Amino acid sequence: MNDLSLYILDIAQNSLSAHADMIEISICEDILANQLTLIVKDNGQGMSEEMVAQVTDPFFTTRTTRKVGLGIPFLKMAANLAEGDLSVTSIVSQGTTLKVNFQLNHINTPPLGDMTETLFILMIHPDLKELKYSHQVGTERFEFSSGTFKAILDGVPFTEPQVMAYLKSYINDNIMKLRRAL
Amino acid sequence: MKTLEDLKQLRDQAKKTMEMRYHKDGIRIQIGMATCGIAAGARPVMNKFLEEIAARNLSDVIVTQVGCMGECAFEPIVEIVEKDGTKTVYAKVSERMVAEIVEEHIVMGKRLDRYMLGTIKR
Repeated sequence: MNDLSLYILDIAQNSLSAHADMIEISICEDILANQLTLIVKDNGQGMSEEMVAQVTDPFFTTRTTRKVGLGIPFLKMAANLAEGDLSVTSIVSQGTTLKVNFQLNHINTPPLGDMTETLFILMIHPDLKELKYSHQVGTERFEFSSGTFKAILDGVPFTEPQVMAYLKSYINDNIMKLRRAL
Repeated sequence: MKTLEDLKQLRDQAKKTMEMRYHKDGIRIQIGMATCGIAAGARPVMNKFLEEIAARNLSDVIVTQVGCMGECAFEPIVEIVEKDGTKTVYAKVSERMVAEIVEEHIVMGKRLDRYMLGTIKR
């Protein structure tokens, strides 16, 4: 995978297969500490301690079509290559939190990529009630929650052409503005 | 910069034009969005489908994401489920194929044999 936004989409799919209906994604790009931190938190079914210990193993998967599961191992490898690390904490029937950090200016740190596309594709997932996004660069922050949009839209779907164009440019403009400092 | 006020106006406009759209028993476009799909480029493909559907203002077409379809070597895989339950599976779908699939298959109802992995008739 080429960029962080693709990894995030992939990790969020794990939350969805764990029957989460709320996902919180937060990205923090701390220029002074030279750290990029990404947290994906869900309210899915959670995992036992035994399972948490196995998720970074590429030969562990819950799916039945194949014997490998590469989502989390890929992200862990990317983090390790950039002097970062990945950790997963989980409580059964409450949810899972995945945290990754990268050295911000490390040559192996993947670029952020198109977060707007990732977020929009997650927002329109029928099983997901709430997607919270928080993105911090230095002291500036951009936050939104898909629930706010949903409440305003009052039944009009996100995929309605004008609404889709609006949401994408709303998210994109805000992220672009935020990251100008980098 | 867009504000949330703009969104409220869009909602009111959309409500007027929306009434005859979005039926439950429409055509469903399912895109495999597991690690294999994403790595092969499923996200831009899904995005392109959303854009093409929106640009043509097509009624009752739903674009949705599903998990791994079990044939990772053929990702990105797109499955089109018609009203009668007939499924058509397109393999190795790229962004430039999307407009063609929408135009020929969704609009005209003609399957594109050269992109197909197979069909399951109901």
